[in-house]
Order: sequence, then structure tokens, then C-alpha cells
Amino acid sequence: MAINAAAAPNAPVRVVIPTFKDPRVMIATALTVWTVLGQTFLYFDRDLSQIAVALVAACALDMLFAFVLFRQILVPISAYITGLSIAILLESYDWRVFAVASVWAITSKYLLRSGDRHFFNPSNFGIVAALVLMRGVATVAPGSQWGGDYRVAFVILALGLLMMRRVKRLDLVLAWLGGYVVMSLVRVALGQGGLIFALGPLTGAEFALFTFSMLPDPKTSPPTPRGRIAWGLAIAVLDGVLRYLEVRYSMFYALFALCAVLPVFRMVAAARGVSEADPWRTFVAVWSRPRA
Amino acid sequence: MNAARETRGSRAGFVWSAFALAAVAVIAIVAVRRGGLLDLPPVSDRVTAETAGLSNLDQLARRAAQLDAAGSGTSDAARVGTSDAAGPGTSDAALIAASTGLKAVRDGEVERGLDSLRHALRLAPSDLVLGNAYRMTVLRLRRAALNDASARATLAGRLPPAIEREPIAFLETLRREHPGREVSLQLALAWVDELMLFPALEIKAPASVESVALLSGILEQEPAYVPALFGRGLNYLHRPARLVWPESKKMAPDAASRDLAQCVAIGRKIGGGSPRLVGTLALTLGDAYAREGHLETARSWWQIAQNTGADAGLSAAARRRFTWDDREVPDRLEQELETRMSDLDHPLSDLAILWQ
Repeated sequence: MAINAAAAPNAPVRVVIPTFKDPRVMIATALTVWTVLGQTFLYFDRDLSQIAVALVAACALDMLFAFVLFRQILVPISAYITGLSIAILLESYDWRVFAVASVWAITSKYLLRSGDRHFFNPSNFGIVAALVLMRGVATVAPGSQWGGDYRVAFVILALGLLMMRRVKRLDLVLAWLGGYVVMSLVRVALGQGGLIFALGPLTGAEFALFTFSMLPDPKTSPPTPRGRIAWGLAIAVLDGVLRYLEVRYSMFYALFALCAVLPVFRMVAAARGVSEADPWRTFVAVWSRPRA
Repeated sequence: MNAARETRGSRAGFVWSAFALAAVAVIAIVAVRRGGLLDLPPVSDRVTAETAGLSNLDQLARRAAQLDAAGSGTSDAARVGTSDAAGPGTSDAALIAASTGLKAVRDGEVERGLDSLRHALRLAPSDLVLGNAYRMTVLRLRRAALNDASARATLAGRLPPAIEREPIAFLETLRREHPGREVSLQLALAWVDELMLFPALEIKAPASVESVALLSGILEQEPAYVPALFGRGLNYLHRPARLVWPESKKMAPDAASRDLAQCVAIGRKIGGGSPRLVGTLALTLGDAYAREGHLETARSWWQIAQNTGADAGLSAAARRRFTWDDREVPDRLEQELETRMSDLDHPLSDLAILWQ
């Protein structure tokens, strides 16, 4: 798979700025508030230099790719979300892990594409690549980043659901949450631990970040409500199976595996003449000028 | 025609929804019955705070504070002897004797101090605070003597006669005179002190076997006695994973987690333990599950330990464990357990965790 929508060398340079209606703006804002609270009150204990490294690497590379490949000068809001997600979710004593994971994430966005879209969630790709390729050096931060206070977890859950409603991904997230609960019950019924162990991850920072930042990525989630529900349930089922097999970081692997087969789905859909709606394309070109 | 099709469609949707809900309800019932909240073993209704050894923890805490204050000669020493502070089975005379002993040891009069502590224990043999103070004092003295010997680079660092066979010798005598669970517990923990001071396998193995035998003896009489369950679980957990212990009976692979899970289950039923005790139990149970290869369950318990927010050390220990990759868990856990065992500033066998 390669880029097939690259701009011609003599195409005009466009400046691409997201509007306030862009769902990513809300996600980016929420993530920023979350990080600030995390660093000040909620025990994220993340080294600020690691956050900076992840953000700078992701945003700079995103801007570079966009300019070189598409002749775009863009405000790297996607890369900002990706970099911040990586910075909060990954844990490592080595700052280079954050840079490398961010580079992998953004590179996957431009180099692994089906049609004119990437099919891996960039932050998910970066995190999974780091977990697999930098085993022992990179891990996902422990789930109780907010000091184990369940009230904080429920506030985050409630605010997250409200945010998903605004960005029109509530169906996806509810399907994922519902599927997760059912699969947890199945695991406990099959003899794997108790209900607190199975449902406890719901209250963790790792889970919330995955659910409200990674999962609703417009580019890698289906365009229709039914599709999104099926997508959320599929991730929950695969995650449940992996958890039953005691695979760590299962939800990241589940999303990664399903994203990997997205091109096949799209191919089948195209072969059947079904066109995927594309309502989430929200870039707005506010200024463009012909190349001199 | 269309209306009929729509009616059939909505009826089918309703049937499917009802079927799905019923299936989820059945799964939930099975899950609750099988795993419960924490997948802990059942606890008999006959278990009480007294049989679990968890009664009067507040009184024990006050008593320990008074002993510390009296031993260090602070103004709080004046309060020693007030009747409300004395725990069950203890006497004010014992507390005064113990505090005199502690003060003497601090002043360098080791033999007189230990005699006084032993006198205190004879007066109140079932007093956990006094027994613990005696063991911890002897442990510190022996440690200092060994450090001193190693600093002088002698080939064989002999311990001074006053502490050479202590606290085991005295506690064995005391147990013959007063065969109660508390004295047996102190003796079992004295063997743990021994293996912490001398981690060589030829001492560690028989010391652990002695300790487990004593604790098992207590548990045969009182199966819900939490300090003994915790002590035996720790013994099992700290046995080197890759070594066969020829002196011991074959240990069940889940022996550690069974004892520790029973502790947690009883603790949940009785309540009253400090957050630090709860967090330590959860962390230790997680370690036991990790040792047995149940890594997901282990991480859940580590998470619970961290969530107790008991203290920074416990939280850091849980966070360290989260960074372990699956493959490195056995080795890292072994290292962690060894480090914990050799931390003589906060000895594993210190019963103060019960009341602190």
C-alpha cells in the first residue's frame, strides 16, 4: 500500500486549518485539559520532557509529510492528539521511546494507506509498534493514574460520553463499552478472576484514553451507525478473547488487528459497489494560492 | 403487505433483543456465582475478629505507641500503665518491664535490657506488641553485631553470647510454658528473622521449614488466624522458585496464593485493617499469583494495592511491577522478593504492620 493521492510537484500550496466544528478540536482540547490535570492533580507523573519529545516529533513529522506529499501547510491537530496520546499512554525511562513511537505513528499515517486514507489509528500503531519492537523498554502506563479514585474515573467516563455524543461517536463507544462488559462477564463465568478484576479496567486512565481518544478516530472508524456498532463490538470481542488468553495490552492489539484488516473490508465493499460515506472529512481549506 | 412485513420485522427485533438480554442475564448470574467480586475463597460464618487475630488493633496501636514513647524516655512515658491501653492478656507491669528493657538496650546495657524484655514476655506471653518488640530488638542487635564483625573482616563473626541463640531459645522455652497461638507465632517469625539474617540456603531452607511447620500447627487449631496465614503465605512466596527444598514436604503450586487469598477474604469479612495492611496484603497476593503464572490476576491485585494509596513505597512497588514484561516477570519478581527479604530496616517479619 502506498500513497496514491500525493499532490503533483507543481500543485498549489494549501494551508489547512481545522474549524471549531472539527471533532478533533474537541478531542485535542479534552486531551490537553486531561494532561494538565494529570500532571497537576491526578498522578500521571509524566516527565514533561517526554511529553514535549512526543509532541514535537509527531507534529513536526506530520507537517513535513503533509508539505512534501500533499503540498499542504497544516495545523497538525491530528499529530497533536497522536503525540499527546503516546506521551500519556506510554511509559519508559528512555525519552527516545517517545520520539520513535511518535515517528512510527505519523509514518504509518502516510505510508500505510488504502485508497486515499490511512487505515491504522496512528497512536495505536505507534504504541503497538513500541510495545512489540521495544519490549522491555516501553510499556503502557499503569491504569490507576488518577490515584485510584473511582470518583475521578466516573467523572471522566461521564464527560467522555458527553464528548462522544458531540463528535457523533457515541454509538461506537457505547458498543465497545457494552461489548467489554459482556465479555468481562463471560470471562468471569468461565472462571477468570472476579468481577472487580474484569470490570476494574473500565475505571483506569489507560481504558479511558483508549476509549475516548483512540477509538473514535474518524479516519479509522466506520461511517455508518451500524458499522460503528459492529466495529465497537468486534473490538470488544477480540479484546475479551485476548484478555481470556492473558495477553497484556489486549485492547491495543485488538484495535491494531482489526485496523489491519480494514483494507480488506474496504476492498470487499468496493467490489460489491457499496460506497462508504465520508462525512468525517472536516479539513477546511481556508486559503490556497497557486504556485508561483 | 409492507405493514405486515414491518410488523414481522419489529417482532423479530424484539425477540432477538429479549434473547440477547436473557443471555447476558444468565451469563451475569453465572459470573457472580462463580467468581464473585474478587474470586476469593469462602469464609466461614464462625470466623470472628478474635479468631482471626484482628481484634483490638486500635488498642495494640496505642500500646505500641506507649511502648515506643516509654522506651525512648519521652514525656509520653508517663502514660504507661493507664488501664485502657493494656491489651487483652497483658498487664501494665509487663509494659513497664518491656519499656525499661528497651531503654536499657538503647543505653547499651544489652543483657539487662533483654532480661527485662523477657521478664515482660513471661508476664504477658500472648502480648503481640511486646513479643514483637523483643524479636525486633534482638534482630537489630544481631544485625549490628554481624555488620560489626564484617567491618572487622574476621573470618567467622561470632555473635555475642547474649544474642547468639536469641530470640529462638527463649521463645521455645516460653512456648513450652505457655503453648498459645501468639507465642507460637512469635517463634515462627523468629525463624523468619533467622533466615533474613542468614540468607545462605543451608540456613534459609531449614529455617523456613521450621517456620512453616509452626505456622501450620497454629492453623490446624485455628484455621482463620490471619497473622499465621500471612506468615505461612509469605514463607511459601519467598521460597526460591527454581529450587527444591529437600527438608520440606512437597508444596502445592498455589500454596502461597491460597493462604494469602484466605487472609484477604477474612480481612474483607472482618474489616478494620489499616490501608497499609490492606495494600501490603494485596501486593503480596499479586506477587503470589505472578509466581504461579496468573499474570492478569496478579496485575489486578497490584492495581488494588496501588489504589489503596497507603504509602509512597507501596505505590512505587506496584508501579515497578506494572513495568515488567510478561517474560521477565519471574526473574524480576525473584529480584524484588530478594530485595524485600534483605531490607532489614523494614523487616518482613515485623508484626507492627498489623497495628500501624
